[in-house]
Amino acid sequence: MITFEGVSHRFGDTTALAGIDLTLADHELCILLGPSGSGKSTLLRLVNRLLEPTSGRVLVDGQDVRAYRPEALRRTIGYVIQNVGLFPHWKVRDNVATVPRLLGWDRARIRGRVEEVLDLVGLPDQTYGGRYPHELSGGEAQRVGVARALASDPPILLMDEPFSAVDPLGRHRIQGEFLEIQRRLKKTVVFVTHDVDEAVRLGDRIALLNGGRLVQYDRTEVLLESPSEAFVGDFLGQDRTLKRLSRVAASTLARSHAPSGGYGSGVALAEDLDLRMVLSHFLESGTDVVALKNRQDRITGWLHREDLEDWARIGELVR
Amino acid sequence: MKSGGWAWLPLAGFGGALGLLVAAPGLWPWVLYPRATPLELLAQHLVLVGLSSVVAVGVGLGLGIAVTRPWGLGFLPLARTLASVGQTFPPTAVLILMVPALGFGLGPAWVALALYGILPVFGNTVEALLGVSPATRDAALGLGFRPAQTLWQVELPLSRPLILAGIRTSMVVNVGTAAIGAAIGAGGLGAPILSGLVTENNGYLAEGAILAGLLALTLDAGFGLLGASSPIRSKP
Repeated sequence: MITFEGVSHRFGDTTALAGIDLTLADHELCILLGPSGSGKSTLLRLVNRLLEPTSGRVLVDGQDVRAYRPEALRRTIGYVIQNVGLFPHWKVRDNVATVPRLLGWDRARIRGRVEEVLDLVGLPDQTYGGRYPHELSGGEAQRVGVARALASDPPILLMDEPFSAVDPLGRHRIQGEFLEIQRRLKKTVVFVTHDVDEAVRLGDRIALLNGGRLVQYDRTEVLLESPSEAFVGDFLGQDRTLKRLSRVAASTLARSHAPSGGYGSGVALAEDLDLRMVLSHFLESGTDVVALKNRQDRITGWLHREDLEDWARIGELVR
Repeated sequence: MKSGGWAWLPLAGFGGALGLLVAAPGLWPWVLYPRATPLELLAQHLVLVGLSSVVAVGVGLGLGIAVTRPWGLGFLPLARTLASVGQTFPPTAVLILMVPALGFGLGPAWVALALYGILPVFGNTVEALLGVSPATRDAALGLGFRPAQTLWQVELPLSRPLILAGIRTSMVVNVGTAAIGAAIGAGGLGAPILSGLVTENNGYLAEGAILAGLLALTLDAGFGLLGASSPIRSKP
């Protein structure tokens, strides 16, 4: 658990953070979202003491971070940054081994762990371990960055705009892969981004910051449904209902029987498709019911346009 | 430089020629400087260059590292200004200025050479260390390197090629400047050159010049070899 207690931070005359109170729960991916200059990166860097608060306290598992030596603290917290920051003079496997080496693990244990995490991010050691960073694509380098952060299996992961330098297509893929990894590992992740779509896709919760102030902190669905003030709605965009739809799988709204009188489009959609895709299908085909199928191509239910529209209108009541 | 087989050629060639001319004085087709053998002259020269370069490299590196640490950054502008002003002094002037300060002989020459040799090492060390990408530095800090570990394992290995280039410049220039050291009584390969100039004996002059030239070329080739092998790669 990470707790910020009345945290402020000033650089000279500029106030980067003003009185932040925020608690991040274990095993959740919390997004720090906001425009540039909102203080989100500053907030992240307070956790591993790359910055110190001007006033207030930062606690990890109830313990003030100032109780630890900075280096010791940082070795227990994974860290991934935008420009990856791989060490250009070390091979991929040496980069990944960085923190275990700093922690003094023995050789065999390090080697085993390096192979494990490289497999986890889909870059097998046999193929990639011996390469140098300049021999990797942007997406590969960032995967190595994630592997390096996970190498010592830290409970907390700090990620500062980790995917924003990857091209859009690669970014979507790496986000998906990271979600898979996070579902398995259940780390406590603090993830900084200015990209609303990324925040909505990845975040269990979103803390929205503006001008060094915490504007709203809620589960992602709640934030999308009920913005606390105009800025939140503006920042999330007019299409935030669509964004809400994008977080829900079609199967959640499926009925078990075909409708009487509805017209199917004659195709079946995958049940794990998100509701935004289904809506797009309805708009395209002009129909108002669609069959859903599982991975074995068996029909598992039907999704009605009216159910989707009801959900979009009053999400909370339906759930 | 890429094929390992030929990279040795310059070093072997210049070094071999130097060794031969020193080891077998009979090969010279003219009468040599009588007061010391080529071997003695070369040895004096090497001691002068070696000792002053050790100090120059040590001080240059140390200062370069110091002014790029968080606690030393305040001195960076001043140090850079001093270094660039220092570089504008001709080496001869530095040597001659030592005489009123420290007198004639080996000592003053040695001090002058060391002082002058600091500049290229310092300059390149500073540029190299400042050139390490902020992302790399940030990652090192964030992953839990101690400052000294960041320096030794990340910053210095990445700065190696540029720092080596600075040491190369410093030492090669030093070989030439040390020859002028004979003017203030430091001996070495400058002695026959000076004597040749005074007595209009081109044989003496050529002896000193050829040997000093070959020494500089040998050193330069040696550094070329060091720099050519794995520019920025290292084992953690």
